[in-house]
Amino acid sequence: MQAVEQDINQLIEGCLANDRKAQHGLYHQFYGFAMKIALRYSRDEHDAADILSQAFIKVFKSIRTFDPSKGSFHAWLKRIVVNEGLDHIKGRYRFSENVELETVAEPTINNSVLEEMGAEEIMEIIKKLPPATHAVFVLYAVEGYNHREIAHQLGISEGTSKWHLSEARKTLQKQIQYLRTG
Amino acid sequence: MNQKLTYEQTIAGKLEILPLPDMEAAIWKRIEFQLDIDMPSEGDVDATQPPRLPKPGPLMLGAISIVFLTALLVYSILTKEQTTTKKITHPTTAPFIVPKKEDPDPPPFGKKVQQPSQSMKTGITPTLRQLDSNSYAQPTIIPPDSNALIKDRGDVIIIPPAAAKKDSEPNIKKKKGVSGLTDEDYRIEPRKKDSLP
Repeated sequence: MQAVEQDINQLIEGCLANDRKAQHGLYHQFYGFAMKIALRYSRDEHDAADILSQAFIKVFKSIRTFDPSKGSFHAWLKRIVVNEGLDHIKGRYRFSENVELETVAEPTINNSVLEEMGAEEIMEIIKKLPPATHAVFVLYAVEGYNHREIAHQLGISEGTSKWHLSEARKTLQKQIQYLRTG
Repeated sequence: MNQKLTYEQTIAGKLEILPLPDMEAAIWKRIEFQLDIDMPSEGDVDATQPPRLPKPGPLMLGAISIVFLTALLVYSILTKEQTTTKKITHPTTAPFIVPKKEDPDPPPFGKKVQQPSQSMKTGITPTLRQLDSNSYAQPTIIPPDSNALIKDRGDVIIIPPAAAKKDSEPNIKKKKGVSGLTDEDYRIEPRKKDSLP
């Protein structure tokens, strides 16, 4: 683990000197990690490729702003990829402020059904969500952000973020039931 | 609402094992292409880019300066020549036409050597036809009562009237008024009352 960290530090040093080999090495090292994040915010592989390429270009351009004392390179890269993914969603969808939600009865989803499903199958259901609902659900359920953070990230209110999460849960429940019964 | 549900944890876990698309090389090419444009590295020479010209050294700068100065000199000479030509060929007033001084055998006084052209006889000046804005047809403007003799265009020179006056005309004072009339003729005298009817 320590050797890997040392390698990463060396690659970052090379990237600071605008060394193309070091940049390729860093990209190769984090391709899987970053691609998984990009796929969560995209409709297909091509969308994910767009998100990933833009994110890495930002990484190499702003590598000087990375401060190891503030956090790991993983966390820094993840934030850049998530932001790029959200920008991608914002580019094709305007987030509405007309909907608010304070309290709602949570829909019940059979976890055992989900356990039987494959990752790709689950991802296909998530992709069918409207873009804003999709973004809020991934940020909340997968990335672990709270509603205040999501509201800040997307420029919406906390109530709107909650409404999108509720809509995502309802839709997922319906979709999973439909898949299992149908 | 603010708590992660069990199925959401399951979804998060499943998405972690999502198979990756085999696009690593293709995406890197896009990144590299963009990086070559935005932040080219020192060692890289892009084959798609045209070769860069060498930086101009002192010799190159000297040669460029010489060429520039030569062009400037040629241009100024040509401009000067054009200005001189214009001064000669475009007099502002009607020119006098006199025979060349160095004519070896000037015609004797009173003897007609050559008949004036038709235009001279009739007093009609030839019509000027302008071909374009840069070239002018040089008119031969001759006053109807001119006694000047025209032998050939090559044998005459054109002198501006001001210059010609100085050389060829004596300074003769013209008489004022009409001949035959005196100041007495202009005097107005009131009529006598007796003369009224």
